[in-house]
Amino acid sequence: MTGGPAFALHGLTKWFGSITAVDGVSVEVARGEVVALLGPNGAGKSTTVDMLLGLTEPDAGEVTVHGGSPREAVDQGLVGAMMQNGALLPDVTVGEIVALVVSTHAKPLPAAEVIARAGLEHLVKRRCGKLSGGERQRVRFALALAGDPRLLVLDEPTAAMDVDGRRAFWAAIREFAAAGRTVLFATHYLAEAEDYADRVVLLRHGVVVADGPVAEVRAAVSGRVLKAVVPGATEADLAALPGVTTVQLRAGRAELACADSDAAIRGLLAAHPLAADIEITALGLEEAFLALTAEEAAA
Amino acid sequence: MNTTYLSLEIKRIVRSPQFTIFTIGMPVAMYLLFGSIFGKLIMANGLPADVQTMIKLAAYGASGGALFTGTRVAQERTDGWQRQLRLTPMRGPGYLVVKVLSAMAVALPVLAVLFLAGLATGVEMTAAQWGLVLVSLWLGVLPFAVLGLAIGLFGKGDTVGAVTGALMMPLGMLGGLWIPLEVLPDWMSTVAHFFPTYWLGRAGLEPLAHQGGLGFAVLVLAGWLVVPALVVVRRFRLDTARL
Repeated sequence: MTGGPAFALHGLTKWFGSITAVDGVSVEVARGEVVALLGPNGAGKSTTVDMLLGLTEPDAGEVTVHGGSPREAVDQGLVGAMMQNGALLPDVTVGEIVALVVSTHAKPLPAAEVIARAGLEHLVKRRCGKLSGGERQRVRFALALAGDPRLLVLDEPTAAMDVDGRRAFWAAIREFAAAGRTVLFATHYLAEAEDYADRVVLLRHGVVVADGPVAEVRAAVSGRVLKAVVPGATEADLAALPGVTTVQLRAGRAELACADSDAAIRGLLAAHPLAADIEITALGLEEAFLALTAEEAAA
Repeated sequence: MNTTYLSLEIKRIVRSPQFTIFTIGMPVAMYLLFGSIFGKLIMANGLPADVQTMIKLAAYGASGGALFTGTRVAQERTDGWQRQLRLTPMRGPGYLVVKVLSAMAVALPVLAVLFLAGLATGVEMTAAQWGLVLVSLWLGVLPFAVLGLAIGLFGKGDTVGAVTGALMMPLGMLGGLWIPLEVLPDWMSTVAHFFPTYWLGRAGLEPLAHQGGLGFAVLVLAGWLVVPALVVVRRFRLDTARL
């Protein structure tokens, strides 16, 4: 097996009528990476995932998965996917549906192992129609694992899971990724991207607005906030300080978003020696996310 | 061919209440009712009523069961199951073949139960006749499985269920499977000749009645097979492109 990328998207574009759902997305993911595809609802995450899996034909651009077409990758069991609301057969038991999907693959994982990895041992005889939302997600996860894939694609995987379910699910994903396999998961849960991804691809209106390690994406929005009580200062005074990008003044307390918080604090203390209660914090991914996805409103 | 999928499909059909109640229960009940009314009365074609009633209701049960393939397919389309299958190496034709073969497979027990009901109530045929009737009815079910599939690819689960149920009424009644055509008005008996169920009944009676026209019955049923099959292929391609 060659060491090419796990998958590569080049200039991927999809229109739905006059709406451009995905607009020239180019992303290359190396084998073994765990990547979060992050974005608000309607950002084009699911459409991108559909094209990666060959469920939707792109209007422009190209997808390769392990060097071949998405369909070839699916046929060879190289890619397993867990779709949002992926269908199960309500009258069929968990054991039966897993055995069925295992049977479609040339080199599958044994059904018993699939069941164990997805934590479904106690549900084997339960009909799919009688499962809870979180249990159904685990069955979809099992079906994604059936072909023993090298690449796992997950669309909003933990949407219906409770806290314990999420923890167990991510533990299983980590185990999967530890064997040098690739994971791409689409999510709008920032905490999940922050906690579980090596890399974040941030999507807004079908365009990649940031792509890099979690720390880098956070830094890309000029990472710090300076808060202080500044007696007698006006918003204009504060906005004039070096390194400050935006100012909010509420009840005497200033909140300065800073491109360069070091320059800002020196300037603040020089101009306003009475500034007190000073606090400098890095932006969380949450703020980075909001800053990046809000940009358009300001533009 | 994926035999795991085929056996699972057979299991799903057999354990559904639809199968026990409508596909087997109803024709058996109708046979016991009509069979006891007419008994061994010799009909216009020279055959006793009980044999004909048994054969025609066996044809009705088996063809109706096959037609209901469409309801399951439509439900799976509504749920997105075919999309889920596209994430596996299984291809569309594999799915369609499993659907048709499972419909054919479950037609056998339907026919068998009706034949047992006939045996239990004194229907008499030679061993060869029993065998030939079974084979001709069973093969005649194929167009209905494909027709069901064609219907199933056009609607949503509940709609297709209702349409199929509504369709089985004229197919059974006007196809002459419920009551002999001779007792119906002339225009109905003319209409019957356009129904695949009529020709299925004819094919089933052929080993006994030798009314002739078996070739024509086969031709009509082949037409009812080929046209829906073309619809299925075309529709499934469009469906897959859009999913």
